[in-house]
Amino acid sequence: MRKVSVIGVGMHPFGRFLDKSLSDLGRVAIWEAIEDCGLSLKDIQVAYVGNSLGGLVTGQEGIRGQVILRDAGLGGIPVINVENACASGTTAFRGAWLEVASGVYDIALAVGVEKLYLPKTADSIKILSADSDVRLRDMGFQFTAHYAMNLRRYMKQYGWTKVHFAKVVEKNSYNASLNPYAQHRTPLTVEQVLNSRLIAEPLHLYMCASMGDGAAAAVLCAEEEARKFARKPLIEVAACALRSGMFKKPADASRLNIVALTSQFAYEQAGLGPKDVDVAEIHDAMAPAELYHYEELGFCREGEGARMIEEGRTKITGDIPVNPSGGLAGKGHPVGATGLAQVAEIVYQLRGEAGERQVKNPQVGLVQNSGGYVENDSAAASIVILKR
Amino acid sequence: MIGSQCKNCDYVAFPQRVVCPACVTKDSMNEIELSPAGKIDTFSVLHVAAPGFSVPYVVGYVSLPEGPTIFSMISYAGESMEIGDEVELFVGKIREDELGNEVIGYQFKLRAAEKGDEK
Repeated sequence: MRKVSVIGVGMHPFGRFLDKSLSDLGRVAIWEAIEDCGLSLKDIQVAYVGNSLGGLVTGQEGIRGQVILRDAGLGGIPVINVENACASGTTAFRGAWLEVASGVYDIALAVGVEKLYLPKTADSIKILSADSDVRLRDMGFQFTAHYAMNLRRYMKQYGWTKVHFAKVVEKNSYNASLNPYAQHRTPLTVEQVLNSRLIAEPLHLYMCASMGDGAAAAVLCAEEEARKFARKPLIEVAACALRSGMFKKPADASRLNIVALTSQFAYEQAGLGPKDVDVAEIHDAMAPAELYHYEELGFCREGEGARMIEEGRTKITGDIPVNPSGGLAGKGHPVGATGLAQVAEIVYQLRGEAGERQVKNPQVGLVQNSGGYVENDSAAASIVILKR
Repeated sequence: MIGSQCKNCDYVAFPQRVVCPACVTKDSMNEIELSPAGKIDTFSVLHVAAPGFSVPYVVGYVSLPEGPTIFSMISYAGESMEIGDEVELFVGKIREDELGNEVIGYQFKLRAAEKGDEK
């Protein structure tokens, strides 16, 4: 396997864009990523396009990638359409990485794009819930409930409170306020969060990612080739791991083992450990989920997630900053775009390009992206470790 | 409720499976009748819903004595509930379909609920 570098990233800001198509969103992210690395569209040799729900939202099935790329000006190359729920973005990234690492191609594009806003929110919820086993959806499952049920176990077992949960939102909403790509740019106080309406107890409105539209893209290149033309610091893909859930009752029902297992594999692949991570983008579709993901990623011991937020260790100025972008609840969560937006944020951070939300001199960054729900576990988990 | 139990490793699954999720043995699953009562493993009261569901409603995981922890709606009329509370099975309305027909299915209710205003 060859060493692979991320040489360009780009985004369409996350938000509510009822007047824009998937192509309109994708094109902006693709062109920004191409311009970021100083290449042109004709240099792209293969493309992976991640999108989860565009079929239900727009009716376009099967070839969304080709349509989006055509409208960006790209054709005549292998195009692979990727669906993997909220992990579609990093799954597309993994495909692009494999193409280059294997030596088949030198330059690959990964795109993630999604539109979730519909005139009626209830319709968006129904569509989103189709990323779970529909047997459960038809019995009332929603993703808010998935996170809420996990968090309630931690409240019972470790005494975590809603104040801890609101403190995560306080941190991430502040970070999002510094991020020009973020959907929600108003910093929120603990009190505002706890006074917002209940969505899925114990989760309040501001703890939950809203619907979102947006896109993100990354250009990957063989490191030996990139050295010849790169104008910016090369960001090495140190690990890229993907795993599905086990979908059986775990030995300890309070643990969501998929993220822990995937990260262990990724740390081994990178030859690094949790202590080496200088900055992380974590899949917090409901912001308080950060707390148990800290544990699963090895940033702290079991049950200590709430202490991490109390001590401010995961702020931009902390010793292990998490979600400097604002996270999913702050930056926005257009499902298929999320994983690549996380990658983009880590690339900005490692290059020192993150402006007001810049973490101090990070060398290693981690992306954790999860998706879908089958039963007792997420359907997919991705970990990407990037290194300057 | 009918689940399935592996004749090789005794793992109990609900809904029924053909391949054992634990020891991955083919055609090893036999039908087993599951207890119609269990304990709340975790739950959430939902205040926003997809079309067809009336809010607020409760979903949760219920642990059955035979082993499975199963996803289900839990009947809710504003009463307080906790992890560990005992619940029992019943069949009732879950939602309405696009034509307004009632869709019924298995769900659970608090055992104490029948005693009325105890709390």
